[in-house]
Amino acid sequence: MLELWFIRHGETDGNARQLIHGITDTPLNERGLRQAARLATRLSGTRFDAVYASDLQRAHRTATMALPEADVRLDPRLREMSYGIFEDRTWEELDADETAQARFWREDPVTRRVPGGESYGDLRDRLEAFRADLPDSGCVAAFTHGGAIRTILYGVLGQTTRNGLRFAVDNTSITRVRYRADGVTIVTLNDHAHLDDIDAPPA
Amino acid sequence: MLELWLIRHGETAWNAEGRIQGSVDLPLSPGGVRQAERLAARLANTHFDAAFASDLARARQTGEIALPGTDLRLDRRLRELDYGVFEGKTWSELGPDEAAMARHWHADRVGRRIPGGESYGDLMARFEAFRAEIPERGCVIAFAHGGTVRGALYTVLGSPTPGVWRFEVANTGTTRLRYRADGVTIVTLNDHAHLDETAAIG
Repeated sequence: MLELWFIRHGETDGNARQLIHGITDTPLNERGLRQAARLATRLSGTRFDAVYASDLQRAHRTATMALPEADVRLDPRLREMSYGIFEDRTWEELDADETAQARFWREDPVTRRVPGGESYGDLRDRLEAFRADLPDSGCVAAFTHGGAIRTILYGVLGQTTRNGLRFAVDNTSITRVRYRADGVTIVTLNDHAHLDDIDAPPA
Repeated sequence: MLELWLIRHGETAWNAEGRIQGSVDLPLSPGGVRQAERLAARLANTHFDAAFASDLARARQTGEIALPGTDLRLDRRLRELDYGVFEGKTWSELGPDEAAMARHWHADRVGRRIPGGESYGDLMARFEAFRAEIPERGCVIAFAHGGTVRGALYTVLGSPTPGVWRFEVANTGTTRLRYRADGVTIVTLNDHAHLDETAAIG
């Protein structure tokens, strides 16, 4: 049995401004650094057989801060989806964009690629290829991205966004999935207990 | 928008022994009381507009410990699945006839009723009746059972094909569902960070 801990990176300025940042490579902001420090405390008692991270700096930095002793292996298959020409815009702008290429992509983002970028199907396939290379047993941490973690959840649960189902995936949240020969178990989804009261003023 | 926090009760003696416990009414074990106390520390700064609990002792007690001084409304529609003839047994000690019954039931837990008990379909119907009466706004907490949490998730995700996916629901684990006009957001599922070893030290 393999247990995978999917961990989203800490906050970036782009996250705070709700920008579409797929492969746009920006650092953690001050709040993101504090989130990663909280995560480090949270994970201090947990042992992983292997630790991987997306090679984008927000995921890599979160991993090295959260698990300072670990040998973090970078794997570009854990990257966020590449949003091509939509990078650096806001989701609100994209949802309101009535150009032909935006409409075309929105109709079927799973099979249609963003011009200059990927489809959600591309993302799903490379995440699946990442997992297929892991051993069948042990406990592995993968520092990755919100869109990647949602894609995994939709896949595991056999769901689509069509019926309005969404998953919250907070910065530095932990989603644990256990892979058995006969199926999967979701152990926790978006556990971000270590962020309770993070924005409270210092006592 | 309604945000519903569904909490599984703390451990009972039968949980610890792996005994099937549905409508049989056991109190929390000393370990279960400690889990509920950890949950209390966790919930201390969260405001709820209303608090409900299953009328079974283990859920009610968990609510009383976790939210002291709160007016807890008991609702039997939040009860655990009624396990009928399986109550009090462990899955491994079932006799050959009961084991066959259990296999038959497991192949369609939503559609098939346990002899003398309920199906997940029954549980989902009473959970949905409960939810339909809650206002559509605010933040509401309900202390319930592992089966209630799974049933609530099945109402959102559809019934699982046997063995394809499952959810772990730990004692005092927290599952948060946000009901929007156009769908449901799963905010957290089985957050039980308050039971971590590190939580014990800190």
